[in-house]
Amino acid sequence: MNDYQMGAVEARFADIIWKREPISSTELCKISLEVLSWKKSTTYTVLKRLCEKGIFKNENGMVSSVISKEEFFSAQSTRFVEENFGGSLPAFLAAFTAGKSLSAEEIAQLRRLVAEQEEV
Amino acid sequence: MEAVFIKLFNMSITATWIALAVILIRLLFKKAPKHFRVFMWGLVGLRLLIPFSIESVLSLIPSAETVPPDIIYSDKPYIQSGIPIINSTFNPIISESLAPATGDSVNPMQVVGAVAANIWIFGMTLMALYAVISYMRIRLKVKEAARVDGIIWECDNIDTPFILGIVRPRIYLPSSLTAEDREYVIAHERAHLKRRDHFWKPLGFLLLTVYWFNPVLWAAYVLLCKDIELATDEKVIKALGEEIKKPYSEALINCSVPRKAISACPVAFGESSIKERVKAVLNYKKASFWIIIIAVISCVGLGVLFLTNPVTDDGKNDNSVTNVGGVDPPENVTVIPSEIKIEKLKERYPEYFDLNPTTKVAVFAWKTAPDKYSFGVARRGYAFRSGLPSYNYFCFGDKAFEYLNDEEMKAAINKISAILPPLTLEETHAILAYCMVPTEYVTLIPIQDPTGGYGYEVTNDYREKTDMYFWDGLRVHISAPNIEFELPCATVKIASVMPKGNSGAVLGLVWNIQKGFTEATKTEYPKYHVKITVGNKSKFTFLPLPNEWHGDEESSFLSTYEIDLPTKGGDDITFDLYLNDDKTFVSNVFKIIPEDNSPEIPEADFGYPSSYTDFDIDGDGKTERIRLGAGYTSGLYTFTMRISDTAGDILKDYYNTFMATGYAPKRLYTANGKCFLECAPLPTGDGSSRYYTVEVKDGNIVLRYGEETFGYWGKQGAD
Repeated sequence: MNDYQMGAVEARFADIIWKREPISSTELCKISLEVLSWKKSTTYTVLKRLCEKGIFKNENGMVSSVISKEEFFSAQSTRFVEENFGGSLPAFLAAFTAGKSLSAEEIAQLRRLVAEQEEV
Repeated sequence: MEAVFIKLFNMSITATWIALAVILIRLLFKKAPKHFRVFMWGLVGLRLLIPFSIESVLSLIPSAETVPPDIIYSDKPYIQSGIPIINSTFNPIISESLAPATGDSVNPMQVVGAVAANIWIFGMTLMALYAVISYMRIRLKVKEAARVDGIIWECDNIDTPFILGIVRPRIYLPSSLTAEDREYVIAHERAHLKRRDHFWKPLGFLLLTVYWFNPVLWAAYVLLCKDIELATDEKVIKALGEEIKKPYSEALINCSVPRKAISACPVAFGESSIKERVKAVLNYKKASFWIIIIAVISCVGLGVLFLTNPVTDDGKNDNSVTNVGGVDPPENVTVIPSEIKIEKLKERYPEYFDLNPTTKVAVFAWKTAPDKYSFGVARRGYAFRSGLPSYNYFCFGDKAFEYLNDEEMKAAINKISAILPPLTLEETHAILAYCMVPTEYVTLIPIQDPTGGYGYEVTNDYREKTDMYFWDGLRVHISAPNIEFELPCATVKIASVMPKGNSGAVLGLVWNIQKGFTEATKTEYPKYHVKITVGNKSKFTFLPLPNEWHGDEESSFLSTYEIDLPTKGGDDITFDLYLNDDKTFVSNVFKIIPEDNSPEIPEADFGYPSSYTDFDIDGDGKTERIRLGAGYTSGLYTFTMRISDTAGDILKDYYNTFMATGYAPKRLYTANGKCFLECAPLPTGDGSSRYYTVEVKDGNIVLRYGEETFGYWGKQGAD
């Protein structure tokens, strides 16, 4: 489980890699310059940091992910629920839906999710 | 460096006044649009930026030059704050504790100046370092910012939005900003850019770096930062409509972060007292027409009253109350004493004391650079005495420089200037006064622009061009020169009385102190008072004894007393010297006679110098115009006088040509029902001025001095 928290800008950068992996570091610099207006050195600094955190790896100039986007954000949400709702999903759901009414379709979807979890 | 510091110190004090005025106006007109406040801070900045200002009678700045630039060399340091109570409180302390002591090689004021200048530079360096370090740190932070759109960038590790850069400014937003707040934040930052705040605020900090020693300016900077934000908030609301007040305030609160009180670089959204800003935003109402009119008037008023300097009459700000238009008691007489130890001058400038000028010669002083003067004694030969062509020379000790014409005179002066050390105006004044050379014998030659003519006949011409204050404006007539009084262990001589500007005089006393004088006797010593009379009203003022009058040694001082008194041209001013036992000591010593009752007439009429006065000279009940014309004729000093009626139709015309032996005519004037011709002495005469009465007798003009009359020359008669 990875507990590193990304800022919005870092997330934009990480998205580039997740979308195009495996990607050569030269290509990554090119795209970062285009999308984020980053200099080569900035790209490498941030990439190095994210590699150290174990999210990506850079092997012989090819960058690819260690953790997929879904894995990373699911870990992030789990941690969020743990930190703020003592790990209780119902408490989180209750807070999330408070003041908001759910549509019939959303309720059906939730029911399906609960049923799937019970089977396992 | 000390000079730069003193200049900046004085500028900072003038700026303090306008800054205080702005703070007051801010308090008084809270409802005025905030951009007026920023504009007013701009005026404060202007005062700090521009080293000069125009003078205006409306100026409320008490003094443009609180610390005189020459204070570090002054024998008697003092400040001129323009506020009497401050001057009278601090000047005795400053003068006493910081005046150079006898025998000191360095003036303590010089030490104070050097130390102050170094502290100032140190502080400035610290401020600049702080700015550079904060800038570097912030640059490092935004290194990983990503461009959102155009000049807008977002960044993960900043807490508040701000603008960075002056030439190509960028807006940096925290990446955590919600989309809703983002809209208002961008509107705010764009408003900053439109107002050029990203330029003005660093400029403010730059000025604070230079003027860090002034606490009022720190307050001004903090308030400026606040006002910039308030003005920008107003601009946004004005542009986006009052209905955004609420969401805009929420954005403000969301972006607020605890910040340092003083920040150097960026203009930021969440900066400066959020509480006050939110309140201002919620209370915002479009300013009424009248409020705007009042704001504009206060800005204009601020400019006129505080951007200008007070009027000075001699370059020094002397805080005298000038009384334009009437004779009132001289209640505002102020006396600024200063003393120069003659021994010191003798040591420093032996050349000038070698001259030993006497009243028998003419002294020429000239200016070689701003506040650099030299002087020398000029002698000349006269054809009518030697039978040879006239020639002139300057002499200095054993050196003499001959000259025949203007060009050669200039060259001679240049040669002399090269070997003579330059003096300040005060030193020139002191040496001449010590040597008992009355100002009437001194001609100032503006060396940069010598005009034609020799000796006395150029005197008046040069006087008009001079900026040495005691040679213009009023003239001083010393009716009893060389007055000396004996005191126990000392003799005192009246060395000089010189007009100062047009509202005062400089009285010079030479104190020759003999052995045997001690500190104890000083306290018992009689003190001097001078009674100054203007019209029928008088005022006593105290003349302090020389400060350095102590010790058991022989020494001489020239004590000068700058006496400021309210008067105007045309007043007769009498000085009486008193001892404090209230017996008249020396009465009616001198009188200041204004020069302006003798208007000049064009040169073409009679030659030079020429003046006239209107007076009924022959007692026929009609006023005649009496004219004087003079000029050199091949070594003989001749002049003409003519009498006609005032209308210019020459119904009556007396004319006579005179030949001078020892005197040169200077001007005509009428006083006490008589017409006088004032004559200056020539070197060939007995060395004192004379006043001839002008009369008409048997068709001729007669100039009479007691039993003596002026000799006629050439054609005489009446038409």
